[in-house]
Amino acid sequence: MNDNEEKIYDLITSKSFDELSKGEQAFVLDNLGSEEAYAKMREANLAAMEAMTDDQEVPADLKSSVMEAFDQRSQIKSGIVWWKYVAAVAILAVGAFVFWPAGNPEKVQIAENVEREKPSAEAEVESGSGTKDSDQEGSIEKNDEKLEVEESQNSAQETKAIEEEKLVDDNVSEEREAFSDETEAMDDPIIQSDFAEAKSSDQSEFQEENNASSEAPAVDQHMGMDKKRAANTLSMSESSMTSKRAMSADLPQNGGVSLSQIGGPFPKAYVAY
Amino acid sequence: MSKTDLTDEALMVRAANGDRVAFEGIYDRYAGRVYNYFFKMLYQDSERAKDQTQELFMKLVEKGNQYDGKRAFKTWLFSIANNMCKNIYRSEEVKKRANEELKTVENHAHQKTESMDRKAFKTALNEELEKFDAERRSIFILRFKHQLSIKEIAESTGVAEGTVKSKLFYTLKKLSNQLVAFNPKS
Repeated sequence: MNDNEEKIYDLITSKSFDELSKGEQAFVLDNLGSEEAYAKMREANLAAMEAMTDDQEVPADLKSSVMEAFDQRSQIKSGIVWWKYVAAVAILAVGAFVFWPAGNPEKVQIAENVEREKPSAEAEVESGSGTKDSDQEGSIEKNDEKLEVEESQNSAQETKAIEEEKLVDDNVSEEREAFSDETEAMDDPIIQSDFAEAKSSDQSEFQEENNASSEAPAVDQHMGMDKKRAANTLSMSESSMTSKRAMSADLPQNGGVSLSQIGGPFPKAYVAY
Repeated sequence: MSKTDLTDEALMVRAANGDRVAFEGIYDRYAGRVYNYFFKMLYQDSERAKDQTQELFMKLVEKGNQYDGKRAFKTWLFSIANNMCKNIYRSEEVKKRANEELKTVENHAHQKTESMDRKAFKTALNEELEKFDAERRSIFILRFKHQLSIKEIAESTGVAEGTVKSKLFYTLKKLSNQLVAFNPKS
């Protein structure tokens, strides 16, 4: 029905009943019932057109009030725009004061550090997983080699220290033996009398020797050097032992290399990956 | 280029950017049409028509930046006016119903006393119009008062073109039956 109404409306506004084709006339009669109804609707249409043409005069004061309102709105708008500019400039000024590089050297330093660190990290990330694995394997091998070299150095130092320690022990035992022989011989009275004589003669000689005292400090110095050397060898052996202990603590029980050692410079993520 | 050479759309774009001359041009072109639209839609009340016309032009100033320059200005303008009337009808629905009975009594009095001339037909037509719902009345006024095309009416009212034609058909049919007592051509 909606389509029919549209068609009839188009016909009413364009043609009288006589101007309609036979088919259109049949269509109109089917929907409106009679030629008279069609004519009435057409008359109503034309009459409405005529009746609605009368125009009311626009009040004279309407224009002035509308234009006045327009001016007021424009002023408000321009005022808002002006404040927007002021606010924007103020924000920029504050931003410049806070973020200006010269005003805060620490921030600049941080920024530079970030920039320096970033490329290497990014490069690591950007290089594919395959290259990452190969890099890690390479670093593991390097670390293995380093450890082997360190171990061999340590063992060489240890053997040296042990040899020096043995030499010192031999000297000490020889001196002790000589001293015990002297104490046993002191019990004999003949020897005691000889010793007393020899002592007196030695005292006189000692006084003479005292005058030429350049030899005695040399002997002392020699003895001091021996002691120092012994102490050094002891400390070296201790340090080698502690470094060994530390290394063995870092190494896992199965004899492999700990990732924390290898991955020292890498973040955890890379080690896990 | 003077303001008279510019299209409605170009004037509106300029007016939206605060061009006073362009806004004045828009006013000169459409104030009469808008005022008469409101006058017909709002029970031929000149004061209300004036207020609504002013309000509509203020809306053009405020919402001018929402105007799409590709859309026909005339249909956009009447769509705003149509929405304003719809809002007014909604708020006055109760009042309208209360007055309906009284108007019917007055209509009968008119039919008996006044002669069947053009003036009587106009009066009767306006009274009939007030009985229509907002949408039908708006379509009727836009069609017969402002000679908008079916397409323009459809764009202004947000109704399909077929529906516009259908509503016009029923309005004419109703008018032709109710105004049978008048002879508009006499």
